[in-house]
Amino acid sequence: MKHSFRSEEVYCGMRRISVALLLALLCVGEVSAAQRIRLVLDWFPNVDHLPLYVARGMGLFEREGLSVELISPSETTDAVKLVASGAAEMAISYAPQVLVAASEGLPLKVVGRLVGSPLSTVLFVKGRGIQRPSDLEGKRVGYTVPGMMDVMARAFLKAAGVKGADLVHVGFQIVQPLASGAVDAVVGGFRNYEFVKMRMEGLEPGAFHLEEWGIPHYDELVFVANPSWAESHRGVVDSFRRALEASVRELDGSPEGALRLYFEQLPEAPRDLEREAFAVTLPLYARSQEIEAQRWEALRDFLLREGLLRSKVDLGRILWR
Amino acid sequence: MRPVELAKPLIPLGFFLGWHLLAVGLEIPPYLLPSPLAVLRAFLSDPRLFLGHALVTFAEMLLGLFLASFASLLASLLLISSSLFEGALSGFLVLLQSTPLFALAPLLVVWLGYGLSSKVAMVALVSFFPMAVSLMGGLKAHERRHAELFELMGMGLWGRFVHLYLPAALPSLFGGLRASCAVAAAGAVLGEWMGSSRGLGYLMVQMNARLRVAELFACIGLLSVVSLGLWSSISLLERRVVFWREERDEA
Amino acid sequence: MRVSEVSKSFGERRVLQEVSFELERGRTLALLGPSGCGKSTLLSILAGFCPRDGGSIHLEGREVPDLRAHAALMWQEDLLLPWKSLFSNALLPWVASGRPLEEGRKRLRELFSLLGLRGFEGVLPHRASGGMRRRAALARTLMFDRPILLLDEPLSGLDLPLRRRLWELLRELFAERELAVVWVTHDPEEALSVGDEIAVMSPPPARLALLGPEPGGKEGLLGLIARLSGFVPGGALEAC
Repeated sequence: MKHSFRSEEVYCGMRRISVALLLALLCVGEVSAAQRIRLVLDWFPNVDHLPLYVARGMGLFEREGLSVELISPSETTDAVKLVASGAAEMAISYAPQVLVAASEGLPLKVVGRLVGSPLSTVLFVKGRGIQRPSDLEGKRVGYTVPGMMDVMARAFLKAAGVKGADLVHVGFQIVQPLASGAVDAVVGGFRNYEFVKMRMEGLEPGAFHLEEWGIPHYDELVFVANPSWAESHRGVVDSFRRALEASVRELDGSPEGALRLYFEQLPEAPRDLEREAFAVTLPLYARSQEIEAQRWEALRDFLLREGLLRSKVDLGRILWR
Repeated sequence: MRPVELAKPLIPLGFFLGWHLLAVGLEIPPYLLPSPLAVLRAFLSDPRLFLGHALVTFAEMLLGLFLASFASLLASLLLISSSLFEGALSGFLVLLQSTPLFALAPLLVVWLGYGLSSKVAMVALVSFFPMAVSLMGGLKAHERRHAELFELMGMGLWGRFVHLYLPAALPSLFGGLRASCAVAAAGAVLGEWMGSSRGLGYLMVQMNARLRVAELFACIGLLSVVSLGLWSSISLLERRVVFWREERDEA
Repeated sequence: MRVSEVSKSFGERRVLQEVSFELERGRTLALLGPSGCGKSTLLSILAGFCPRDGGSIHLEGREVPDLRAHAALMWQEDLLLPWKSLFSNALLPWVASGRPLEEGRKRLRELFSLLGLRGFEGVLPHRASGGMRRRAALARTLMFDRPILLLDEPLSGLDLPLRRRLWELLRELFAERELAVVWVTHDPEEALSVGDEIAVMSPPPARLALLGPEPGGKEGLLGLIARLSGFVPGGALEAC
């Protein structure tokens, strides 16, 4: 067969091949570039977020092809709002807050767990006459977040059989009013943070755990994601969950090493406080990323009863499957 | 009716219309920007609740402004009686102005508790500076010749204050009061954010935590109404008290 | 009182040049001169509101820094407080002196009657005519109840018939109370009518020339004007 190539044909052919190559390269490039996740924290970085810092420090996110950016919010409702609007891909939120947001129509998907137990407690100073919740009868009880913690406080007091107690909004100053005696107890302080802080300030802290008094067991800190993003990036979400599980395993294997990694990334963290807080938090990190629908149901029904939810939230839509 | 008169109510109307179009037209989710109708509905779902809290905040603002008025009058009296005070006082005022009041708010709660007093104090602190500045400017507004006349008469300090300085300064006092209205609202809300059980600021925090954005906007709207109401009342009072002014002043 | 060689300069400008005159109780000195040539400054100096650069002031033989406690000054501006009625304004010097108010009110009511302000006591200055304000200011000046009066164009802005009435009225009043009055004016007729003695001031640097009481009506007036024109280059009634 006689091959006759005209120069134009060759030229055209080469053009086509190079274009195809370029496209192929771009696709490959896209796949090999790290998947970016903007993750809004619930508060300023603290030991509750340690697994995230371990994952980052040990390259566990990188290994899964993720580039996670940790963002501090200006206040606690930022996280859910930013995720719902799509300004961020993921965030950390509280299980009750997630349910409230969902009932107000914010699109959210619960995709992971960080702390698998409630952290909020009823904090008080030991040795001032309070030993049982019933001792709060007629006393002044402060709460941190109106709309959330006052509801929890009332449910707690009801379960404890306390009929008359003065509820006061104390903002986010928890230790101060307890120390000065302005309030006798505060609902909303964390058992791993404010509890430890009180000890460091020389006060003997006492705590009633909410989940022992009429409030269902819930995950204090969970990961939420923008639903449409999550659906179109299922692989990324699964990668994230894997990375986190791995991180907690590493944590368990070497807590000291984990803490060191955390401090390296956050030099401004208050060492003594966080070290002690870490000790308390360690057993509470979620060991499994499995989301228990039952837990969420119990919490949802409770919040519905207490009037915190305006409508029954469809858990099937918001929990990751 | 002159065209200008007609235009006046159109401006706020236009604002609400624009807002509505923005929220609905651009399909902005209600948890980011509720439409004005949604906000109105939120308010009407429990007007008693909103108005009750609004009343508390209004009271805080009123009391705080009273306190600030007295304080600035006192400060101005000290100022005119001695040039020594003038230097010291202006220094103090500059210091007060440059202190971020956000930092003072939690301290006030610590010192004065969670009740009304810490909010009133906050309002007073925020309003004091603009009022004092306005008042001091006004005190110097009296004619130099008037001062000469009084000196010639041999009028004592008290007499000069009552017959000359105070009446001469009243227009500025009211000007300062009106200027302080908006700041007073911010001060009251700030104080409430630091710890309170009532007031629009408290309600705002609650609604925000519950992610009830329409209710939150209703609070903000109501706060503006309260400020405006206060502003108008002050203007009305001014017209009675400063009876010698011939100018027509519309709110 | 005796004013000797009082001088005053504002920076480079010499305003008053060794001004001297004497005045006894019950006598009125009319100070005549064009507007802006330092008459007001002289009164300010006498009242103690403006420091002088040279000269002295004597009262009943003793030297005094100024006549402040003994004189009542009436400025060219009426200086009425806008938040007080005409009556309250005029009552102020009495209030300042601490004397019983009832008596003061009585005296003032008489004065108001005299000055034609009866019925306008409660009027606020911004609602009163210029003439009424002037007269209220005059009443106020009289309420100082001091032996010396320093009046700076007290009747300016009033119409001629009213002025003529007041010239007579005031002359009687001054004589009754034995007041020593320095009356500044730019109107020669006024000067002639109210002044027991007339002095003329030149444009700055102002010098004072004392003219005695001028006999004879119109001729006297013309003669006076002739003398003034001669003394003051450019004419007495020209503004500086």
